Amino acid sequence: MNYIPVKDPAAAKELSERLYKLSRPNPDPEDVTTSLIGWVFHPDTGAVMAALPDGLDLPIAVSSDPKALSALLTPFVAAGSITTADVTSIETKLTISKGSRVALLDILPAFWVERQQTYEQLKADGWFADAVFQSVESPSIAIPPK
Amino acid sequence: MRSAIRNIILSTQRPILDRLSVRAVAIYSLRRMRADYAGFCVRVRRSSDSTERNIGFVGNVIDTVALLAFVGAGDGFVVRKHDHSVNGFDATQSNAAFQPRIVSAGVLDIRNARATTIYSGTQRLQTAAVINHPAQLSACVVAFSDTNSARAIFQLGAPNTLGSLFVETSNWLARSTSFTSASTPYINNSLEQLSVVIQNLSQAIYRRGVIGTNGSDGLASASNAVLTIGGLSNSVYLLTGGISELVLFPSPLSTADRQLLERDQGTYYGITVA
Repeated sequence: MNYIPVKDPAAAKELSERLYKLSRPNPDPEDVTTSLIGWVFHPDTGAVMAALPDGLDLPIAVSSDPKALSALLTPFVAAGSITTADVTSIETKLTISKGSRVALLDILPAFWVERQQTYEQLKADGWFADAVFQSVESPSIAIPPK
Repeated sequence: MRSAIRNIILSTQRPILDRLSVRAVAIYSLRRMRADYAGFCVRVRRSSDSTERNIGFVGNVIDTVALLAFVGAGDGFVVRKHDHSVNGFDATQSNAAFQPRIVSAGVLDIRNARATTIYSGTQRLQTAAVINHPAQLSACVVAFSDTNSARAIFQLGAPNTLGSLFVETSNWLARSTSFTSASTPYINNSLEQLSVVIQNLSQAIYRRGVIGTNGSDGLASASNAVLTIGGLSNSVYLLTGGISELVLFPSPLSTADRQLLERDQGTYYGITVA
């Protein structure tokens, strides 16, 4: 699993939902699934990282909108982090991938991908604190027989 | 005599939960455990195009032919565990990254020759509805963990309020609040039949029909009784293992009922139960 920084939980949720819509743009009313990837919070700072499963690829539906991610990228173009050519390149990849599968990392801007961090890196930075649940357990747990 | 024999035969043919003296409050299984249940078994998403479909039963067992035909050569993930009780407490997961797997590369996930659902450390399902909970609980579970600490099968309510079954420091533990949990030894990666009986100030856990060390947790409180399957409600202790069956009751099971269900689960899943 690798992780990329996102602005806040709402941005992570929107990214996850837009990615899922590439696969399922016209869901059945009974469908349960609405998003593709998860995200994690830093327990102290509240910072958010989107979680990218290793090697994840996703089916791109024939009826999907190649501009589905473009609105998310606009602020990065405005900030000069990526170019309009980068956005066009992603739209082109999504267009030519309709009806087939595409690697998730191939449809994210390089500016994001370059900021990926590994689980180990995040753990070292205190992202995955030990669960509180564990610390309240009584010390009188039975010892398994030998 | 002939009538008595016939009755015995008929009773053994009825699904197990029809033979208990109490009704389950929630049932999550890949087999039909109540004759009257006419709904689906699970809803599954296939990886090939993210289409979802409800999968029913053939006889009293999940329709694996329909499941495998639907999923094809890819993976299948459970997005909804239909509650097979009368209460409709379906457990769902809307995020694809957190859905347990039931088919891997076109092959049914099985354990002890029966279908199961696989959790790999990020998956969990939750009920949307709140299960009314009178501060006591029984659960009969068939599941396994491949890690000996910090892994949960289920939790009802917020942590340390109502009831949970989890692995910690090489023990299976049943807890309501946070004092002394009931415990029984854990065996790595072993499909287990586990029963939990939680009452106020008293908890018991049984593995394969054998009681462990009793607990003495405090008074359980009935707040926020959402059920989480595959982890704790605060998204920690996420299971690496599998869950084949989970049946919850809103009261302490009698010994007779508990043993009837334990032995049925043992027989069905190939687990030796006392």
